[in-house]
Amino acid sequence: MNGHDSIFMDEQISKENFADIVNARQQMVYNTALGIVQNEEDAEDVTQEVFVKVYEGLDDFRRDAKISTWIYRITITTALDFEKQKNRQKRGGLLQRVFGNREVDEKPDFYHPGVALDKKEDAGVLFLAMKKLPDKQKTAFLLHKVEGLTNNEIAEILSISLQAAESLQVRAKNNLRNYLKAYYEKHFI
Amino acid sequence: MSDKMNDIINSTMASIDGMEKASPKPYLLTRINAALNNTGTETIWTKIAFYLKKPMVAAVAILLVLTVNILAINNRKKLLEREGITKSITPQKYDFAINVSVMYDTENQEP
Repeated sequence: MNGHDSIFMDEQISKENFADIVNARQQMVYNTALGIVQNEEDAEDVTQEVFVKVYEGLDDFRRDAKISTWIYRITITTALDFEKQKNRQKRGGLLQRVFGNREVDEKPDFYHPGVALDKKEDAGVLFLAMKKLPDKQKTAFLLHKVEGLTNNEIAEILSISLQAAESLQVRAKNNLRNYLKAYYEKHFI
Repeated sequence: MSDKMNDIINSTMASIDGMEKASPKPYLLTRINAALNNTGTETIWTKIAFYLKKPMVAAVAILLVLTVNILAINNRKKLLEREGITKSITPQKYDFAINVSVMYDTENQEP
């Protein structure tokens, strides 16, 4: 996957080689986490937590699975849990939901450091829209767009069929387009 | 959907195509190692503190303290009421004690 797996032979995946694993995977973990939690500090925390879990789980790691698939799974679960916990904490949201503040009223608050300057505003709106997607759609869309993974690889990571992965992509794109339409109708027209 | 709206949406959907990968801050490995060391030194007190910090646990603890206080106040009231009854009985005991003749009275009958 992304050529990373060829770096490690089975016998090299051990606690002794943990530093090498971190160096080879840190960007992958950080970018996936950043796409989900949409905050650089939080993504750092998630990355750290992921590698602690990786270290603790290395002894139990099944050699028949790819290490990148395994680390992606840990990253996705940890980042989504982090996001849920954060949302729960800042949620005086029930009142907000009842008394207005519709979702399309929100403004972008995250600008990915890797996006070109002239696309920053648009990307900010797209990341805002991604927050509204269900977890699986969001994950599939991010893995494809940010990590550049194929539907086959996404299916393996999410433990679903190829058709299900393709369906997730289509639904994610449709939902994003619907949200963007509502957003731009509210803000520009 | 108008063409203009379509263009805007398409442009937004394509805005993250080919974006560069972000990198975490330097010394990530050092921080991970520090975190790994900390997980090993978790004591019973840090575990207790972790549970006490939870809002649910705090709420239950407050409720427990209030309940114990209410019970203590009620018990004290009952105790005072009972003491009130015994106080009213005690003088009779003393009266009875005063009326009992002592050895001195029986041995020195002559004036």
